[in-house]
Amino acid sequence: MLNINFTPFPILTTSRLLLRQMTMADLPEMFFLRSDEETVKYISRPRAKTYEDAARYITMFTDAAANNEGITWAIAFNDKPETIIGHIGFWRIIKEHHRAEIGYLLHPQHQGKGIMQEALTAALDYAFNSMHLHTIEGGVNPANAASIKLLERNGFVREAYFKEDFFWEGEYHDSAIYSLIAPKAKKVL
Amino acid sequence: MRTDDRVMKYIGRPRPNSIEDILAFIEKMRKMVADNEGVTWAMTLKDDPKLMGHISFHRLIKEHDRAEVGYMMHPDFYGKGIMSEALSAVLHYGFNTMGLHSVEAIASPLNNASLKILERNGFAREGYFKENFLWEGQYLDSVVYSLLAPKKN
Repeated sequence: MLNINFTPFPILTTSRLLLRQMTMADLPEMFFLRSDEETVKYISRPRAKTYEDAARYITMFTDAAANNEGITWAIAFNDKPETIIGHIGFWRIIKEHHRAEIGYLLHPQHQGKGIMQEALTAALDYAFNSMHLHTIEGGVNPANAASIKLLERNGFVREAYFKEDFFWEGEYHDSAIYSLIAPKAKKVL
Repeated sequence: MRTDDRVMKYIGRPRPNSIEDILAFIEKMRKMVADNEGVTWAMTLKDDPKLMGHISFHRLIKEHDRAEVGYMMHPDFYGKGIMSEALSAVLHYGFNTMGLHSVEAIASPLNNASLKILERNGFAREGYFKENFLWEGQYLDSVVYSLLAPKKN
């Protein structure tokens, strides 16, 4: 069984980004991200209708980290750490099988600039090298071409396509699962 | 059944070490029914009340009208189409009484007998996961088969 500990919260940095813990100070940005139709177009989770709804998402993420059940980083630019533009995390960890499910979203204004790629690289590095996961999966709406491209660019492979397995707003939708296996440990010659 | 290697060969679940473990397992199955979280049927021949196997919807995803089916049987009864017969009745119950929209089954890709039972009942292979199941120190592959509810006329 994996021994996972998210306390103290692991802060990650990349050339442009700061990946830090979310707090209630992020509420206005989180409300936007979880209510903006363009941002959550392919994310079948209840939209935030009020600040309370958005606060519940923040609490869910902080509780998960406190209980070592999942980890979600708020994404901000290095030089503007107080303004979050998205989030990325492993929201479901299957400790028994050293596996986790990844999820992310990004403000539409910042899409198409390689930002999520940068965040994903850091998150995957943390997952394989610090959490010691063996595999990671991402469940996506098959129509979400940008997300699928990102996964494929990072070596994820489509391992499943489930027909009508997801009920959302009165209809059954298909879902695709992409997976990535931990890079083989380099052999010392 | 749950200690027999022929039965458990492809099932990555802990083997019971004692009768107490089995009683706890039976209790767990009964509790799931009482809590409406899953349903397990004991299988017998019509004219012999002795348990020959069990079949269940052991994981309900109520939000998506979906459930996972699982089964096992004593090896004395293998190869006679008995599990197929049971599965057919269970699927009928799942779709018509529980109102499920889809059913999935997860198996070891090496478990040919089980995969054949699924295919015979119309299941299609929708997923093949590499190394997603850690069991006794090794990462094993799994396959996922699914079946949609028959379209209503």
